[in-house]
Amino acid sequence: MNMLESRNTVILSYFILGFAAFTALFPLALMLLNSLKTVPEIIASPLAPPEQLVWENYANAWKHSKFSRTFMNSAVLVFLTTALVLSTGSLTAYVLARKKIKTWALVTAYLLATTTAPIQLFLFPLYFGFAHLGLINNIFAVSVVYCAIYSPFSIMLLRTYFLAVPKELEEAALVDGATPWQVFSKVYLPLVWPGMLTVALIIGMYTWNEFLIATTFLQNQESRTAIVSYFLLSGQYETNWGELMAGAVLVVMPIIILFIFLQKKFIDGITGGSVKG
Amino acid sequence: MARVEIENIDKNYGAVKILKDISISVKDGEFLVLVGPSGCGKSTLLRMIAGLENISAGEIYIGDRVVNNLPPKERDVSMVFQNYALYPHLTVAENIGFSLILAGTPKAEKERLVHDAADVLGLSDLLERKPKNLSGGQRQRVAMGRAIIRRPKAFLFDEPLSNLDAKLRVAMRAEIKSLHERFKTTAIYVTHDQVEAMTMADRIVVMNEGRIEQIGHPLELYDKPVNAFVAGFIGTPSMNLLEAKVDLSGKYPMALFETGEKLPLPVKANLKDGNDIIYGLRPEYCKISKTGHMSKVEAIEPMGSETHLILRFAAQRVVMAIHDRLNVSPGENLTFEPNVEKVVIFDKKSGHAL
Amino acid sequence: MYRLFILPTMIINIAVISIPAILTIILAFYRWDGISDPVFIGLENFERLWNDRIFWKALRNNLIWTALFLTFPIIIGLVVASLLLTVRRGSTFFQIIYLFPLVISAVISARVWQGMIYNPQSGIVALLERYGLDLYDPLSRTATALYGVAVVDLWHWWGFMAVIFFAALRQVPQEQIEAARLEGATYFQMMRWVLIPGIMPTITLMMIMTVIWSFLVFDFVYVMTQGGPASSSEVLSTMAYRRAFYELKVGNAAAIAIVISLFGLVATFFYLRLQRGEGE
Repeated sequence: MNMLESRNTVILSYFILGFAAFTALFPLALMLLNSLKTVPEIIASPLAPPEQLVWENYANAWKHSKFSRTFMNSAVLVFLTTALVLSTGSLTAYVLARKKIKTWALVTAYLLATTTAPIQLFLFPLYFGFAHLGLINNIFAVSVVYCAIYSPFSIMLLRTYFLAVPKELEEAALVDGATPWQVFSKVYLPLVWPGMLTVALIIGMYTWNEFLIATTFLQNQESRTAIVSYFLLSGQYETNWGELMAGAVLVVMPIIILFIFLQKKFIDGITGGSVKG
Repeated sequence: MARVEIENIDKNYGAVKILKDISISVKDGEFLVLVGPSGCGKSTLLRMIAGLENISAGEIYIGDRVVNNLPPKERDVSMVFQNYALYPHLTVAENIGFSLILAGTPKAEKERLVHDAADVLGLSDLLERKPKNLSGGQRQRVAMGRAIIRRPKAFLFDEPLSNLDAKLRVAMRAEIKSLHERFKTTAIYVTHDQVEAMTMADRIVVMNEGRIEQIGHPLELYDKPVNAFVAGFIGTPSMNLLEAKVDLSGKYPMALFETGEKLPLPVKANLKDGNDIIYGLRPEYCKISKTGHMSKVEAIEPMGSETHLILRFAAQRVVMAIHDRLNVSPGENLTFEPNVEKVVIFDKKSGHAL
Repeated sequence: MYRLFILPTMIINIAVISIPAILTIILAFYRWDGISDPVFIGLENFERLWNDRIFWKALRNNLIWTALFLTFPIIIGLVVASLLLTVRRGSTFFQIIYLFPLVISAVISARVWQGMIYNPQSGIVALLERYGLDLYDPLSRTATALYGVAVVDLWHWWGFMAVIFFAALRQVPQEQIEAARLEGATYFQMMRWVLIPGIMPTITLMMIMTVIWSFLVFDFVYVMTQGGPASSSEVLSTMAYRRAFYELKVGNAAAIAIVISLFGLVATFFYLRLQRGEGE
């Protein structure tokens, strides 16, 4: 759009947008700035620049949060969850997008219903069931829980990508003698991978950031995620805000970097399914 | 009502020049049609007049005011969009009276004006409907109603008929024309359809690649195209444009084709022997003649009222329109004779008419 | 064959969500500490909730939360999205910035606000106090704790609304906007007559989802106040969590979970009815 807007309108718009951007960034700027300061400096003024850069904050946060262990746990959890969601979700999304049979409408309705179910509705029996089966502190078991929670959203998003593939491609393949599995793996998968990547990013982010399930099911030091161990660290060392901010920077860094490099996919994924045309 | 003056307008998107030095003077009450192939810049020009695009250089006057820096709402023009721009959540009456709603016109006044406009357009029975319950033609009329209710200085039309089927398009063409007769408001109408341009315009502006090729009355463009582009663009089936050389060796000037065939040329002072030319011949200025030039029939397209013959002559394609029913088949030979008086000659290099 | 394709999704989903959800509904009628055998007690769990002061407090807090999130993020989101539509240039850049708070974990956001803004020693609050403003840590007082948490969640959330609404606004046909401009619409008239009606389905969906999400809120409250001080910021989900895992009253927690779900059901029901109305 290239409209002749009056200059004042544009300036005022930018001013408001800029103020909104400042609001969004201000706490994060404080986080970054104070992660390099000593506690007395922070107390003197959270806005002042550091007199000298206190990199030990990062080293201490890394050590006290056992990040070398917990980052790995988080990464494994992200990988397992994403792989599970993509493999099971893409199959379902394909069927829901392309096969018009009555029972599929029921499946869709069921999946949509589970997206609105509060976690507390199934958390308690799930926890005691897992405890009974000895699955507490089991990262793979938690990734299955995440898969169940994130699948409906992922399937609805993936479905739109499957719908965008011309039906003729499938029909041509079937005429040429392809099996359903071949149609899915040889025709569709190569065409919907941008959608898979988008879903992977969103699910990866959710999993990395998730707190309620993680803190409930992964309790010991060996299985804890980065978020949970940061939460516990911040409970213990409540006074050392410099170290806490350094820990915060460390935890958000992987997400922020991915987000900046793949922002278009993130925005696609975040808005996907929510905008009714 | 007002004249619209366009003076030396340029439009650039970065380094890309969309419009180059456009000047048009639209008289008060005139119906001017901008026509050209898609991408020629005609819609951009219209949107610049409306204030929806910035002007890179030059000036636009509406009435006596320079409007370059005025926002759209202060230009007092109304525009009919290709997709009608009707609001799906508003009724026909609200859509027609939208500008009055925005201006806060009192209710009684608003209703009177909406009813007047609906009367003119035959929409009186549909006022409470929503756009989705209207046919294409009715939607088109609502869009028109929205434009006329404001009594603006000028109407702008951006391909308003291109979403209608062929039959409706012909009917709406006449309707728009008669509305213009009635209101006598200056109208600028953009279309890619040269038939629309020919049938509706007081004057036509033919545009191509961001430039004006020719401005003139419809028949003037038809009879005296200034260049090969206009000649080819105006008229259906379009003018035959055949490549040839001038041959002045004989008694009469001739066009010599590469294959050795010759066609007669009108006597013109500025023909030079051996010059490369384009031989312009309208399909209807051709007749079958026993003594004429030999060609081969490639295809026959009966249209009903007339028949188009597609001939191969001198290794080029020649279309001929005749009114008699003819019993020929593809592959047969046919002799034809051009009407020399009506032949137009263009310089091959520049494309300009000689 | 295609049934096989959806089997993995369904098995996982039913095992993790449906079966435990059904068990929760059953447990709501039992007294159970998670270890010994459950005892059937009929509606006693619900009766207890009815007489539980904290339950009403939490329910009220959820309703306040819903009201806050139905207004602020939606209004801010609409205004920002419409301005992004006006300026166009830089809209991608602004969207990225507005989404930063969303992609950061609630735990981190909560701690940054607690330490750097609300903290009476190290935060902006402390700094402004020194300049003579009468400020305090909102999380430390019963009257303000809930709002203190809500502000952080609002900060985290509004950018999402702005980005969603901007994506919807871009699908409003361009000519509708241009026609209104030609006919003299001001900014507010454009919003009132063209933009908001044009994206009404998206706004409705977001409002319904806001109601559902408002009853699910957990992380920010749990991390920042644990529902305190003195239960002043307790919401239903933190209350249920505490009942189940701290007080080992699983039946009681299950009853709360059912109340939470009911609000979601009501919202979903309204949404489906609205949609059916549109389809006519």
